[in-house]
Amino acid sequence: MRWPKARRSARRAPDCHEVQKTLQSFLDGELGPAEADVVADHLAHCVRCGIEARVFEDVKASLSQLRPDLDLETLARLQQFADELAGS
Amino acid sequence: MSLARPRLLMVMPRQKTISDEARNRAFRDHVVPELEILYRVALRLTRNGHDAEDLVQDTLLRAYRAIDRFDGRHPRAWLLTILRNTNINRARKRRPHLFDDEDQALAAIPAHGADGREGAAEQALDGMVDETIVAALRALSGDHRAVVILVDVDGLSYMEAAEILEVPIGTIMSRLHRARRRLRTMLEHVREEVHS
Repeated sequence: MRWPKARRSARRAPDCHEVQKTLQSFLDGELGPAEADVVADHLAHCVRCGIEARVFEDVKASLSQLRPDLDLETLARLQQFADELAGS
Repeated sequence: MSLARPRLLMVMPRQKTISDEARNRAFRDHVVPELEILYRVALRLTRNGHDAEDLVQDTLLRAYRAIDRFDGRHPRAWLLTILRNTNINRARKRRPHLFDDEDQALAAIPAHGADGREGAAEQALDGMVDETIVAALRALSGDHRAVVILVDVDGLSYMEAAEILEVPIGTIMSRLHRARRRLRTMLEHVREEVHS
């Protein structure tokens, strides 16, 4: 059985509800390339979903600023330890 | 039976080995690039710089010995599994305490974000937002906060966070998405107050 034309078209272009379900995974880079392209295309054309995406991007950006600085001396010691293990 | 173990060991096949050169190369290619994230997550698990350094060293040793059994896919997730198991072995007699105390869990998170923004007004707004985020993080349940910290603050993937927290990826996703919606609501309230 063939899908009616309108239905086939709907399957290619997801609606807002479908995009909302995968939006977080899209923003986290967790979608495959084909699926990510579909979401990116929708966000480029849908004002409401585009705004939603930017809001969550802001939340992610704010959270990433809380990443603590690491102690560089400790990192250097760990690097030396790893280098010695690997015989270099 | 105590006698069964040596007999079992005798019939076990010899462990597959690789040359020292191949082992060293695999270690440099797959493990060394992940040093920083290993240290970052070790700090989350131990909440102590010295313990974190020891934990990473033990993890590196185990990874070096086991690298011939690594299939080359997802090295970071593989290393984080070793890190988690090593930490459990090191603290076997203590109850695992990852993120179960909200004050300690957030101890490594500064009250304010990185400096370097231009404009006093923007800095003031950033400070308020950061304080709100920290307050919102504290308001989340421990399970939700742990996922947000590992993914959004420390930059781990869903799979990597799942390895550390020993839960399915679907659980990581649902906790993360629910937590972010709550954080968004709190941030929106702050921005509305600032701009009104």
